[in-house]
Amino acid sequence: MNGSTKSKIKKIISLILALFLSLTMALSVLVLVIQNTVLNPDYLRNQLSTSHYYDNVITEVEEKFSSYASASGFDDSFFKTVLNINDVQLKVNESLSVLYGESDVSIGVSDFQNTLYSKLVQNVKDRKIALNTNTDKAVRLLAQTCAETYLQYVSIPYAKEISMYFPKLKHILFYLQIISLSLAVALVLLIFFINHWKHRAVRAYIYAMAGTTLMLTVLPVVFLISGFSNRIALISKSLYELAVCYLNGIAFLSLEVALIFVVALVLLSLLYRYFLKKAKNG
Amino acid sequence: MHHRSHTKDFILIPIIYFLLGYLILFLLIFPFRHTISSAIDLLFFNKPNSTEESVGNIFSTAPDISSGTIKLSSIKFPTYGARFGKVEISSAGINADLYFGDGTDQLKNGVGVYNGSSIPGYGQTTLIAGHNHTFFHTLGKAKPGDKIQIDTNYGKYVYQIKKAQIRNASDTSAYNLQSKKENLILYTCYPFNEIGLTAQRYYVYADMISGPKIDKQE
Repeated sequence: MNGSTKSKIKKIISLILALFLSLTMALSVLVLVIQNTVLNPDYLRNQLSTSHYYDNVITEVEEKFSSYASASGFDDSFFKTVLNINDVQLKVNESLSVLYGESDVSIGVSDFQNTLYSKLVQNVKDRKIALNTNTDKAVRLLAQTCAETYLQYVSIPYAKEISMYFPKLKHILFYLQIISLSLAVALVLLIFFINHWKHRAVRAYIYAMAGTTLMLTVLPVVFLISGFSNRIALISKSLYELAVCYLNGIAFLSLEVALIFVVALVLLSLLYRYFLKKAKNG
Repeated sequence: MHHRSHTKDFILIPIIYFLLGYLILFLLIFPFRHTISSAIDLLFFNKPNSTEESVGNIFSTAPDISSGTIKLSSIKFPTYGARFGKVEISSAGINADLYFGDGTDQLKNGVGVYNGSSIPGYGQTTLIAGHNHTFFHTLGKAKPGDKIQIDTNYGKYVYQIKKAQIRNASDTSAYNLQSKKENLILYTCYPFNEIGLTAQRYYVYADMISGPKIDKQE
């Protein structure tokens, strides 16, 4: 085998290895994005704030309460005073803790129900309406219905059931991350050592990294431009805005990682020029 | 050592890698394409979602049609939440806008046809709900023999009250939505003046006296 054939074979091997490097880097970034979004309670907490979830929940619950007001002889304005953003945040965060396995205590709203009942009774007394047994029963039922509605809005359905799958997914992704990173490092070293001229190795890295950057960019850009997330089938405004924010956040995180790859590509280009110059001189 | 320009390679090879990467992804999800496609159909609408409820209004005045038949195809069917008529019971001083659907918004602005029942003229049961502290506060004053007038965007209907009953809220035998006879049921919470949510409902049952029948065959 002459030097030219050997060089061609090495080039083909480098290209194949660079393809695998590109795929393992893409896999590693995908795992990283999932770890930092779906499996990260802080990500969801941030999205709750960004999407104005708490304010939207209060508006929606107050709308429901307004309907109960019409049905129960209480003024609309009375129900505007029974919710506050701190309590809503606390309850939603309690529910999040259950979802992410940080707590296994189901959230309760009996404190809310009791406070509301006292306020309702006070309102009835202020209006000089006699609080007989029937009225008391009807007021209790109203407080209970309001509390159930409130619970519906501040709790995540099936949080406990879903939380069982998170530790398993975390483990799988952790090992997948270790494997993909180890593979990427091994491929980097292999490409480096099979190429006598180091600029050729760096060139292969550039191919791999540019390929990964394209993979990380195209899908999120198409997703964001198409406005696909805006079509999510949720009727509740709070959940809809949260879901849109959540999905777009994942796409933006992929683009942020792609941006880091672009910076790395610029650095690799400089390195490539340096090695190329060295090769030309040598 | 010979050095050739790699400008083209720097563009083409990453594009090939990217296409191969997406091809692998496509091949991986290909066996699950039906599941994924069903999930997308279930979770996403065909057009951007609008969470702002747009309560339509398809009623201004009722056309002067109070008998005969009207073609189903000629009726503009109300969508959920739309105002499509009004209900008047002179003897009880009730005059309320009629909506299709009995959700929060509809009952705040008027009375609403339960969307599991039928619209007037359809030859079945029309079940209309209203709040006892607002539009149906005086429903108790409506007595057997009194008339109920319902004007809709497609015709005028008159019903005569047959009876009134107080039943438990959970008692589903208080109404028959499968009835093959044109009839009207109005209901609200009971007692009318009770503060809070009550466990009883006040029902008013009425039969149709006049109004155009909807021809379902056309």
